Amino acid sequence: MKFIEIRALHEWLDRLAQEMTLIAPTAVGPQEKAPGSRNPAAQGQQVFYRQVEGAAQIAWDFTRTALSAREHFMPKTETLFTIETGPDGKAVLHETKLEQPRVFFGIRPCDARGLRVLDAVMLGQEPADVYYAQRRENTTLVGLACPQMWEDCFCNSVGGAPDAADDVDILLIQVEGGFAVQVVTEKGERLATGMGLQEVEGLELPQPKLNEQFALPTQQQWLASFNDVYWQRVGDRCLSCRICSYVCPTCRCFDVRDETVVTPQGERIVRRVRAWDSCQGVNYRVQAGGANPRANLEQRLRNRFYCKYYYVPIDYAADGCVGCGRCVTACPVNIDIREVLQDLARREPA
Amino acid sequence: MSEVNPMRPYLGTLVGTKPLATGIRLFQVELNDPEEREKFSVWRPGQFLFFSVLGVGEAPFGFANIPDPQRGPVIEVAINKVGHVTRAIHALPLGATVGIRGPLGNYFPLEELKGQNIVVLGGGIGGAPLRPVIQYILRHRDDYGHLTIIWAARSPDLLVFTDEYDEWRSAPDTEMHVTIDRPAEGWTGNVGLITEILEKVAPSPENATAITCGPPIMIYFVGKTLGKLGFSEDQMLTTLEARMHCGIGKCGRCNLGEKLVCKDGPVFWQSEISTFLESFL
Amino acid sequence: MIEDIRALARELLEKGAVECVIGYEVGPTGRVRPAFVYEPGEVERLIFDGRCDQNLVTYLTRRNKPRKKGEEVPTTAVVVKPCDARSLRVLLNEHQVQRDKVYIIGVACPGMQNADGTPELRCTRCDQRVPLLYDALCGEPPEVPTVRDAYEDVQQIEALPLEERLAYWLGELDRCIRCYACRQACPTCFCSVCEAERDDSLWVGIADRIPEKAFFHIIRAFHQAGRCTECNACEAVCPMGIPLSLINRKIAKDVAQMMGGYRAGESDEPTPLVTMLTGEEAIDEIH
Ligand SMILES: Cc1cc2nc3c(=O)[nH]c(=O)nc-3n(C[C@H](O)[C@H](O)[C@H](O)COP(=O)(O)OP(=O)(O)OC[C@H]3O[C@@H](n4cnc5c(N)ncnc54)[C@H](O)[C@@H]3O)c2cc1C
Ligand code: SF4
Ligand code: SF4
Ligand code: SF4
Ligand code: SF4
Ligand code: FES
Repeated sequence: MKFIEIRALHEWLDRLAQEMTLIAPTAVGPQEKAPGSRNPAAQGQQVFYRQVEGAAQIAWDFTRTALSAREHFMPKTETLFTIETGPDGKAVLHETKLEQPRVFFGIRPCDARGLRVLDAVMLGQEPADVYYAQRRENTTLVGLACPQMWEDCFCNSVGGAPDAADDVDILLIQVEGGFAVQVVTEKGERLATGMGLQEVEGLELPQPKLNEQFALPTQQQWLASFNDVYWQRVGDRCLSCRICSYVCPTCRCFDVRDETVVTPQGERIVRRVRAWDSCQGVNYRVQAGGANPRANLEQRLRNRFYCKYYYVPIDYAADGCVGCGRCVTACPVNIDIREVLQDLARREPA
Repeated sequence: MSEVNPMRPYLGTLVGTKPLATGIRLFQVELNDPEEREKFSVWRPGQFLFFSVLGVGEAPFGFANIPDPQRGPVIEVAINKVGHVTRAIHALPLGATVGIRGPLGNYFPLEELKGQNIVVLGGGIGGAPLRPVIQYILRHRDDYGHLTIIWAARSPDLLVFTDEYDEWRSAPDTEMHVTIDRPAEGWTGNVGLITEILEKVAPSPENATAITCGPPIMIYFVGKTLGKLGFSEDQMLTTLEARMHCGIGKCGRCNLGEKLVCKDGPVFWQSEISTFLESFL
Repeated sequence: MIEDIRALARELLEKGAVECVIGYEVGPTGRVRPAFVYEPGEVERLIFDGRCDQNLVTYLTRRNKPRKKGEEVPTTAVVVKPCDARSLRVLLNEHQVQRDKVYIIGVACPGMQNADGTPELRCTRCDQRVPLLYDALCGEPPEVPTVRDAYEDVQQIEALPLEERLAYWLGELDRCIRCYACRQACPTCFCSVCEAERDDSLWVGIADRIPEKAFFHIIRAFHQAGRCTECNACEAVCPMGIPLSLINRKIAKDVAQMMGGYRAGESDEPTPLVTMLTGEEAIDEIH
């Protein structure tokens, strides 16, 4: 088994940060907020995956980040191209350029698995999305196994594991004095050459503590439940607040719009941007003429669950939810996808 | 970056425009790059494109014509002025540079329908994507049986392509019926909902396919009436509209249940729509 | 108190006086959440204690519309704390909720607690323990000191030099993801679609940049001027932990100062900062 000492790892990360973009979990925001708050986000600093300048900025003790890894592959907002005027007075489009090579350090296994879902949507079918593709190609994923499943996590119920190496290029598992290192892919291999890994015999890997596993509804149960009053009852509480979509590693809905911005220097930039969107928004589905097939809140709420567990598997041959539990923790009215899944799974198939 | 960026529009020039109805104009665009023009000119009736006013935004529209080798590959779209982008399109001067993405979506399986009688039912701006169907059938007139065109609008000023009715009517083995919802001054033609006139005309379902496009509620009721006339759901084709932001199955906006209107559609058989989890209404 | 609420809920549902009782329940994982009870047999789900900090009045505007065209607006009973009652008063004043379509189950409030058992900050500066309006009151007015908010935290921010104040807010807004949860949770943000909404808005772009976020938060603060009842619903849901109450309470403080102590939701008078036409039934948008 390969092994790296903590100090060596820090040195390697410091070197990496000099050479390329290093993204890693880091604590953000004011230290003292509202310590005991019922809103978990308000309790103290939150951890995000952000660009860091070295190991010192990395949050080593974190559960899961406030936002998923998605923001680094499908940014909250990105410019698709700028629209400029050429010398002949005609419009010219300039597409967003290639990004520098990046190392994404400390990605949790569920977040990495979330990229598998985004891959299926953005790359799995022609035509591929070039913006997503270039970020994926340029990024090497160094995963950090969870020492245990955290509150609200259920990756083990949807085929994942807190120490799964399936979707990363390199996986680190914390052990006494350092990290056990699994080099998974060729890309990982290339990166690992600079790590200074040691070979250690008989390294014992810790067994992460798991949360209780539960059974998922079958396709038939999903089908039979679509028109059930159940969605109205859960929808009663829903605020259509969109938090669940925005924190989710696999939600991919986007909106596209042209905008003109004037920089503080007075430069006028005309560009086409795309930004995160959510099917929970009131206007999401309004079409010309005013028709809205999802005018009711419960229809929108239902869409999110079906998107994850019924539509994405059919449309993109991928599991839509990685069980990261973010939507569970963040929903202000405790709409808990685990509860929904178990409620449906209890039903008699029609 | 890989070769094709599906989110990047081809640049084109607005070469012509004319009013079709109140708030609706026809726009003619020619792509600037000859190679792109060539690549693009394979669109089929029922497909759609995204039309960009650069700096304002883009929106999806059905093709309103078929590629015409005689007149050069001019793209035509009929656009109703309803909002942000469509207002900007209506304000474009001739010669303006525009963006076009496409052709997108599936199309009416007209090849498969050869030898059949065709009923075309268009409501309001919904007539626009049906015009290429009519053009195609008229161009390949001998390949198809009887053609019945039923065209409807709320009022006479909302009827599209009025100056082409004579040409359509006088085509061999073709009948056309035009109706408006409510009586209007100076209107001597049919008055009544499209379903009423459809019942009156009562096209035979024998060896026939009906193709409908219009607002969701019209599609719904026309389907009911066609059913009454004996059309099975496998004889009804329609094209659905949905909110769209990519047209290529990525942005998630257009789904009805597990169906993506942009990719699995916009053309669907009624028999498919009946099995949709989610209603388009 | 819990028993009083349950008995009342049962009675209302049995009599058919209300279609639904909105209260609180404990979910399967032990978290307290809004509960919608339609059957008398289900009233045992209802609870009330220091964890019930959500403002249920938020749900009333939604329920004040007929489910289908032509149907009658159903009557809803709702459990209301003193702070929530002020929100309801604002909605009544602005004709967003019909008084006869809501049955107010007032609760004498012991104050809400944080997850760690300490009193919630806003409850340590609350001067009402009994709601200003109710149809029935549950519980005994508790013996807790009542304190008028001195806005100390707001004053701290006010005292910062301009650049520091700007830096503070830019730092906070940087995390905002424009989810609009704050406005969705807010009882008095009742526009069907927010003017500063992200979808389809022509006033503001879709991008997640400071100008767009600031636009939204400033518009919201202005629209809440004289209307925000300081219930903290927005801050309580923000997934990015942004201290939104500092913005709205700053405005509330200034409104009180300028308008002779005016406090939203304490009287039958709509806020002096909102214009309404006489006889206007319901304003769907605030301008
Ligand atoms: C496959 C397809 C074919 C269409 N063909 C035609 C056509 O031939 N002629 C025509 O006039 N219109 C057609 N439409 C409708 C057209 O796309 C909308 O009218 C247009 O997007 C409105 O854009 P806007 O910016 O002017 O409107 P906005 O200012 O954005 O809004 C005006 C209204 O249009 C709705 N809308 C906005 N964007 C879309 C969208 N992408 N798709 C649907 N509705 C939207 C809004 O919700 C709102 O109700 C078609 C739509 C689809 C999906
Ligand atoms: S648990 Fe929730 S946030 Fe996480 S992947 Fe599943 S749906 Fe998304
Ligand atoms: S449709 Fe909803 S659930 Fe599915 S990806 Fe989009 S926002 Fe997420
Ligand atoms: S986070 Fe909860 S309340 Fe908000 S939209 Fe999602 S399910 Fe509804
Ligand atoms: S809830 Fe928080 S993150 Fe969401 S829009 Fe409001 S301030 Fe921004
Ligand atoms: S329009 Fe984007 S998925 Fe269909």
